[in-house]
This record gives sequence, C-alpha cells and structure tokens, in this order.
Amino acid sequence: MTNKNPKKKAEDILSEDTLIERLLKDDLPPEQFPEEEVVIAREILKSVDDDKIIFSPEHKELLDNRIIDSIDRHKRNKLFAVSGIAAGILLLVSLTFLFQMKRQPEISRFASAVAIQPGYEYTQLILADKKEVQIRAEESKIKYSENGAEVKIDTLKKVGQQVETSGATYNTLVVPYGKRARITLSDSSTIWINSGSKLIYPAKFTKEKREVYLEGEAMFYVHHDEKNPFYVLTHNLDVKVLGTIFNISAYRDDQTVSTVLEQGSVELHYDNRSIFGSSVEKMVPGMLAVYDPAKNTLLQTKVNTKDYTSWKDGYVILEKCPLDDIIRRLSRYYNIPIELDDQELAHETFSGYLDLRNSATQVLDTIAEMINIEIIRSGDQIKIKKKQKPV
Amino acid sequence: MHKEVNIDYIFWKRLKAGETRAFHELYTQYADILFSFGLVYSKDQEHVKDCIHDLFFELYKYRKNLADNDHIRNYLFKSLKRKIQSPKGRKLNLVYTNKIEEGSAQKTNPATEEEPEGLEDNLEKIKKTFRKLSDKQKEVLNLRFQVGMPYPEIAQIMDISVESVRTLVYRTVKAIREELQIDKKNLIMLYLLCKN
Repeated sequence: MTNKNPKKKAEDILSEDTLIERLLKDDLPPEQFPEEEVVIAREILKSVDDDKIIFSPEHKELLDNRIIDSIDRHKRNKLFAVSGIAAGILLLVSLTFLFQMKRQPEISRFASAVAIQPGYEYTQLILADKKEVQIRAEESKIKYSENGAEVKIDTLKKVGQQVETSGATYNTLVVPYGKRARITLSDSSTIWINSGSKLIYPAKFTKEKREVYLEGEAMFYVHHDEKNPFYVLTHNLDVKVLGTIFNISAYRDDQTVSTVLEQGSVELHYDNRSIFGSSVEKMVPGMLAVYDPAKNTLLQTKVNTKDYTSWKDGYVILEKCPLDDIIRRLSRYYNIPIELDDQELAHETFSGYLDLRNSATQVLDTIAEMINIEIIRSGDQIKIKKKQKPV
Repeated sequence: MHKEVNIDYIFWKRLKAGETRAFHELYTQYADILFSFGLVYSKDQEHVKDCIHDLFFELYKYRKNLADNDHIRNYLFKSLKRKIQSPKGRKLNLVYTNKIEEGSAQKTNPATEEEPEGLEDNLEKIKKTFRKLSDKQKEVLNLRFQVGMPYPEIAQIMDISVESVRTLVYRTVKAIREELQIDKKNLIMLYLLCKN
C-alpha cells in the first residue's frame, strides 16, 4: 500500500484482454496490481456474470420447434398455391428418381467388361477404338482437350481419337503398382490416380451427368458445375460431387471404401438392403467416411485430410497407423512384395512423415528407427522381422 | 480456373435454397449466444424468444434478398438487436436484471454460500452502481463480460470504433471503481476480509 510506483487500477485490468486472462488465472503480481484493485475487477466481472440467464435446453428446443414449424407451414402454404404445377413436377421427379435407382449405370457395365491385367508394367491408356497407349513415366500427366478428341501425354506426346457424337466414348486409364498418374478430363477436372488403380471416364462428358468409375485410390479436384453434377462410382459406393477436392480409396483388396473430403460437399450413395434400395449421406469438409460393405455401415469421423491426400505430393503423414496397413500401402506404391514375418507385428503402430521419393527400403528404415523391426532384403522380396532384443 | 469454395459459402447456399435443416443447424449453433445477447437489450425473456423466432423466420422468408457476401454471425446480431429495440416490439428495457431482487438462485448457490458477508455487500453495492450507468455503459459491459464478445464485434454492433469500445469499457469500470472507493472504510474491510 505504501508503494509510490504507478499502479494499475481495475479499469486497466478489465479493458485489456490479456490482463483479464491473467486475472482469472490469478497471475497478476501484487507489486504492479494492488490487491484491492484486483478484488474490485474480480467483483465487477462476477456481478455482471451473475446476472447471466442460461437458455435452458428445454426452452431452447421448444423455440427450435416453433421456428421450424413456422418455416414448414410457410413452405406448405406456398406449395398449395402452385399445387397444379408442383404435383406435375413432383411426379416427374419421383419417376426419374426411381428409374435412376433401378438402372445400373452404363459406365459400371462398361467397367466390369474391362478386366484389369495385374501384370501391367507400365501405365496404360485405352482409347475408344481399343487403341492402347503405354506410358513409361513413374508419374505421368495426361490432359484431354475440351472435345475429348485430343489427348496430350507428358507434354510431348499427342494422340487423337474419334469421339462419337451420340452416346459416350469411354476411355480407361490403368495405373499399375509402383506408378502414379495425373489426368485432366474434358471438363478440366483433375484427378491424381494412385498405384494399382483403374479409372474409366468418357472422353467427353455428354449428358447432363458427369460420371467416372474408379477402382483403387484417387484424389479428385472436380471442376465446379452445378448443372452437371459429377459422380464417382465404385464397386459399392457412389459419390455425388459439386465443385470439390476429395480423396477416394476403393481397392478391391481392402475391406472398406473410404472417402476424405478436403473442400466442398459430396453425397455418398450406397446400397442398402432395406426397401428403400439405397442410402444417401452428406459429407462436410474435414471428414473421413468409411463404408464397410460387409456390415453395410458408413462411419464418419473428423480427420486431418492432409494425412489422406498427401500421397499425390509424394509423401504420407501417418498417425498411429497399424504396420500391416502401412505395408499394404507401400507395397502398392512401390510394387514390391513386403512380408511380415511375425503377425504380431501387424498391430504395431507408427506415426510420422514418410517421404515417398525415397526408395522402399529407405522408407522402411525410417519406420524401423521408430519401432522394433528389422528389414531383411533378399532379391525382390522384403521381409520384416521383430528385432531381437540385446540381452 | 477453379472457384474457391468455403464452408460458410456452402452453408449460405443451403440457407438460400431454403433447406429447413440448414435453418435448424444455424439455430442450434447460435441459440445460446443470441439469447444471452438479446437479454442485454430486454430483460423480458419471452420478448427475446419471440424476436429470435421472427429473426429466423424472416431470414427464411426473405432469404432470396440476402447478398452472398453477408456475414451470417454479424447479420444475426445486428438484426436481433434491431428487432428487440423496434418500437413495434415491447418497450426498450436496458435495466440491469437482478436475480437477487427476483428472489432466485443466489442464496442456494453453493459457491456463494461460503463467501463472507462483506463480499455480498460489495456485490450489492456494485449492482446499485450499475443502475446509475448510462445505457451505452450497460450495453458495453454486458456485451463484453456477460455475452463474452470480443471488441471488434461489439464495435460493429454498437456502430462505433474498436478504440471507442475499449475506452468505453475503461471509463465505465473506472466510474464503478470510483463510486465504490468513496466508501473507503468499506473497501478496507473488504480488503481485509479477502486476505483471509
């Protein structure tokens, strides 16, 4: 109390956010902040806060219902006013809707006809007249012209094809294990295709619907076009897209299909054995949706999307990822068989950053530094063993 | 080549499309803060609820007139304030609500039960001081410490600069402090009590 240095008063404390924080943490040194001022500041905060009336959950819900009720009633009234037209439109919409549900998309039928040959050494582009183009690059870039008739490969090569005016001309891109590709379609949507994947798409999108078929993993950067929604079909999950960035992993040898949404909005349509035929679920950015066809369940969780999409930039970030999962991914990416010697190791987890520009052995060495494993190379094979502990 | 799409933008589009679910989501997100914000301008809880109802319903009815670049949060606060203060509504009421007067929870609150008598006297005194404050002073204190809004947001709502908001908070607290310190004896007693 006898200190003559300039001291802070209650108003100094309460007008400064950082000081309020320190006040609440009891972190104001008494030399600078006299106790009486601190007490007054605290009392003022307390009395303002004391008067706060909490919105009880019941009242909150009641008001919510009231608002939704008003909106719905307003909607119904409007609907009656134009009932004549509305009924017609509704009928038409539901008819086409049912029709679309029942029919198997043409592209899926085409896809099941194109067998993927696992022995492919190079990336294959299969054009309209069954003309096959081999692309030798590890990471190839393919770009379609707007009319789909011209295809540019890795900036040097150009190929042409006849594009039918009626009906779609389907092209197929097969990316074997150990290779990646980036393709820009006729609508200027760009797709990064990961190792061991197949993408089927029309050379030029004709109908009002843009449809592609995917087996494997790809990252989509869909060009925004509200009138022509973009659909990614997989063997058991369809994804409807507006302008969006997302990743889909739908390998046949994985039990589940997963979708990660980075930006935009997508709808997931999946088979449902109920009378309704199929289910639809919406996704918001930052979510991972895992569809399990065996259990017919779709689970959404919040994730760091970079962990799932970074492969296109040549690295992966893993967070508590089980070793058997990592090995499956690496052996696809590098096209090298990797074997776990001890199944106990399968559930060991690894977190960290792996640079995929390094060789498979280098990447595995990084993992070995973190967990107790030993990498043994013999010819083309890589074996992973539990490290013997020094006694 | 590609249009940037953000979450707010997509949500705004859903609102503009009149999707009921979007309005429900918007309400769920803002109900608490709008209620507490509304009570700054009227202590009549029913009136505040009516205004929140009208706010959302009119947002739905006139959604087509909204500009794409409208900031949802800012829009909600500004319109609710306008609605509550509208002459068509009930009387403007900036009187500080006082739970003790209404005979509510204060005494049964276990946290306050153990506090010494002197403290409650001081709280009482602060509340009496509050009643002498101007409407603007009450508004700023409540927005800042009851609703918990940051300075820039308060500035937008009160239509003054951020610096003016800070000054207003400073002067208001100073006024309360000076009022309290007139009774020095009381303060010293309070100080001693708090030390124990």
